Amino acid sequence: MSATTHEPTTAPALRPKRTHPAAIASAVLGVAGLTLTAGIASPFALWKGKQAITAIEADPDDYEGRGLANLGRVLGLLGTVLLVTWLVLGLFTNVLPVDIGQVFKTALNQALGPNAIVFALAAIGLNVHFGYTGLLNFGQAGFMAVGAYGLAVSVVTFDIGFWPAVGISLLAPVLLAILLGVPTLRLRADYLAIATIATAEILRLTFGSVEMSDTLGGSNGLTGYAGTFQELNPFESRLDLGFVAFSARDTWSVLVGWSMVAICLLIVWALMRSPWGRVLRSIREDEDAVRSLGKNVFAYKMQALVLGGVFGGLAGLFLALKQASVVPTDYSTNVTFFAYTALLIGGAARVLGPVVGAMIFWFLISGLGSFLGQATSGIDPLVPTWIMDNTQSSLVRFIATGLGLMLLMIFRPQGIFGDRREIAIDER
Amino acid sequence: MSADTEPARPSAAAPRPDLSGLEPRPGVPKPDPIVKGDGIRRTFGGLAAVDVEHIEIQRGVITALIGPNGAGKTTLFNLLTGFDMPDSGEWSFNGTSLQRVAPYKVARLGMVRTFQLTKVLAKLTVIENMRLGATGQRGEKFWSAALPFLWRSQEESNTRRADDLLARFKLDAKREDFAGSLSGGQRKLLEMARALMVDPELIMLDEPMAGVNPALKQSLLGHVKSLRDEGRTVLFVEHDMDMVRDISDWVIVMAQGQIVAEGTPSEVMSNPAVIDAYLGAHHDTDLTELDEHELESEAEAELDHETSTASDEHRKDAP
Ligand SMILES: Nc1ncnc2c1ncn2[C@@H]1O[C@H](COP(=O)(O)OP(=O)(O)OP(=O)(O)O)[C@@H](O)[C@H]1O
Ligand SMILES: [Mg+2]
Repeated sequence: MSATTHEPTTAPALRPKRTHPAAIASAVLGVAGLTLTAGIASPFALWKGKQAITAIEADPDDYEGRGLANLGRVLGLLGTVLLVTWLVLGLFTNVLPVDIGQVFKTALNQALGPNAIVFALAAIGLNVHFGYTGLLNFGQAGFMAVGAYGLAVSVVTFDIGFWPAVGISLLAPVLLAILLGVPTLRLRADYLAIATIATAEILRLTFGSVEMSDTLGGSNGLTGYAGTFQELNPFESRLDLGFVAFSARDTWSVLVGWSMVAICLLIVWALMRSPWGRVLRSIREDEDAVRSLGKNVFAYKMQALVLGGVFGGLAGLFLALKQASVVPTDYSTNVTFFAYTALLIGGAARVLGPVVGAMIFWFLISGLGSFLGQATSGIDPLVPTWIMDNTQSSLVRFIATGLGLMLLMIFRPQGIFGDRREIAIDER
Repeated sequence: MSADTEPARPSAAAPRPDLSGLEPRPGVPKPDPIVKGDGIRRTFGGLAAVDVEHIEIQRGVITALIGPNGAGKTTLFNLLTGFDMPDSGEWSFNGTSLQRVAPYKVARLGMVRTFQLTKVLAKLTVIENMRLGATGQRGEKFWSAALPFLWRSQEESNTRRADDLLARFKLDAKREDFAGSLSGGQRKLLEMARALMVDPELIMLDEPMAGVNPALKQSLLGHVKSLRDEGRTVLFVEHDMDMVRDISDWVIVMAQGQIVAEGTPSEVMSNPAVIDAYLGAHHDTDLTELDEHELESEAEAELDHETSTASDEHRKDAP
């Protein structure tokens, strides 16, 4: 507590004092806890506040910001009390108009359900592109779209069988990757980013265009191609495990989907521990060094683009199968960025990163959605309408998720699975 | 005056070719050149960074490429190895023309370079950096990568070779560390060791000793000499005149993009054109008119100065 305990320094501190970063973090988290994140950030505000105070006391010559840290702690304490109250009331009583148990169940259902699978597959692809090879593909939605439409158009419009259509759906992303890669992979990384985002938009607009609606279904999309998939469904009744429940159809989708995820993970794991994976990671670090050692960088980048694109195509294929319809709006650029969010949450360049990230992403989005939806509905909602009404609440969850992602990048930039040491290298 | 020596055919066993009889003038033909270049020109805007009329690098010896800052040494390296495109010019390696040949193909032919600004793969460990250098790896092919039994034995032998090299370069203690955590000098060492993993016939080192401590420098000089004794050809850029004098068999001097002098170390260090290049003086004077003694003493002074500043720079930490 007192300055007498602090150890003698060889040189007196001549630098100006600076506010300790944890103090700022604590204050920000404290405010966030009481507003957007419904208390979830508050315990972290307490924690960061304490960290800041300790650090400032240990080094009072270098740091200031005690006031901010204290503010963060007070707000954090308030928020934490509120959070605990809500949880207790919501779980054990009927006083609150929010059923916390229901919120958790919805969240868990989504985290394990078909939506999470779609994003897990897409993010596995992005992990190969961005995480391992350093390729900036901002058009994963485009790869998903050609995967989905490859199946739907082949069956509905050209009436070829289901299984050949699946083959086409797997081939389409390969062709797209080659088409995108040949002109851009020799250039600087940003060109691929521009080309992919533009191509994904062009594809979405083309698939939704009026002129080609006879072939591609226009804005209403296509249906009636997933019969074979549904016929294969061995489940007849609803699956209810207590903490999660799926309809018979979803159970089948989830089984097939997680199996696809498992196979993809196995492929990524096997490839990335091989010398081939080492070349990809080296390209991410420095292309020219890899060239100088006699490796054909262009060919490796192309292989990575194709592989990740096929995973993206699989995401589209699965999406098309599980909802039995393809609509162009499902393949907007948002989808790519949500997949990136999932990847960053879980940790890039880690085999399991994208999958865990996708699950957490859907858990948060749907949990918050369910909570805020309930908290803002009814005659006397928990959250007064002057803060937000029911329609606004579905947007607030995205704001909260964005905020959460920001905090993650600040406090754990390597994601959940990342290796802290690797990040520390960049700080040198 | 010109004395063409017998064409020597160096191998690991054969005695190293003697270049002392060669006429010390820019672009002089060598008895057995491994690299031959003609009219290589590269301009950046109006500046001719490289404008080399004729260059030959003798096989089996250590050639030093020296010159003041901005002389075009690194640019010439980039051009020869395909990392940069010349405006004009042609050059060959072992008789194979290398115009418009991609850098990775140049490396595969046996001509491997390091970079002045080191390019270590920061988020790979030191040993992984080394393994990457090995050529012809079965595990680097997409279809066999997922089947470890196809490449494991090869990987093991590569790792043994890598460990030997790491020990040679005193990096074995850092084996499992991320390359990004190495110091500047250690990065230079790692890059050189990694280039050797490619098993090159010609190794081109861009300032290999910059930032390496004097004690290790001595043992590295030994390693570079042993590369020559293994039958490799070494071309290196260096500002440290001690090193140049100590290990090089032949010296090429560049200034303002051109080769201004060539010769054995002692010949070059007493060559007025070299002093001119380093001093940038006497531009308008005919060299022959100048008092030779005056020039020579000036040369000594400048080169000594050059040496001491270069070593100061590199020995900042030493008392
Ligand atoms: N990419 C570039 N764009 C513009 N000018 C360049 C470029 N690369 C090199 N130059 C110029 O070309 C000239 C030669 O540069 P180079 O790097 O080859 O010198 P160097 O002999 O290696 O010098 P040093 O001993 O300092 O490493 C310099 O004048 C430099 O400014
Ligand atoms: Mg240079």
